Amino acid sequence: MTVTPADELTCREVVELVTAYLDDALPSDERGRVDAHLAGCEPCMEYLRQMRLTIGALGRLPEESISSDALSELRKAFRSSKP
Amino acid sequence: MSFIRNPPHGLDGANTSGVVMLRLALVHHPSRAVAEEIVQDTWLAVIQGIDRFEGRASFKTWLFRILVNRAHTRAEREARDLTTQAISALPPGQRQVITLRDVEGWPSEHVCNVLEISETNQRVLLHRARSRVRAAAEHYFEGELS
Repeated sequence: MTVTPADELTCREVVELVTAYLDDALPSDERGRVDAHLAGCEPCMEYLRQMRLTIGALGRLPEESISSDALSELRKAFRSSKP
Repeated sequence: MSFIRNPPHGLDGANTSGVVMLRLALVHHPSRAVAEEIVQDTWLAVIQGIDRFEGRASFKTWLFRILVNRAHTRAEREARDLTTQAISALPPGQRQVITLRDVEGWPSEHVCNVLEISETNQRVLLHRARSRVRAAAEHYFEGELS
């Protein structure tokens, strides 16, 4: 597939799509456009890398680091979701 | 102590070591002031723990390992504190989504069900939340190898 200039994403668009990209939630053509942009854009690659590091760091947070407010909010949400 | 009279291989020129140590600390910690502190602390730890140096590795290797451990531990702890602060400063919706998705590791459909939000809405909240957390701890991620 040839990528015409009209298909090319801007850095701003790539940044906006990065969460959907990491969730593998993009349609394949759009995913391809993000990949094409990333392949030629060092700053966006760096942004993606930092996003992955952020997610990794969040996954290593100890449980007690979540504030009790946030936990009680979540419990409330959880309870109300149960049938 | 024999080490003082007869320095192990590698302990030549404390100045050169100092520059190298600072550079090495800066690889693992983004702040120069903190990196300098880590170098100081490392020397202190070395002096206090010299009895534990068994001479299996070169002295320099031992010294650098202490330095890197300290710099890394400190950077990890600070990044964690910044991340935690950034999460607690988020609006409730973003905070709930990022906590469930990234801290607890839930799949997106569970989060959508529990919070009764659409897939799109969930992703928007997650995206904003992650962007803020990344920005808060950015300096700690710049030099880190993924």
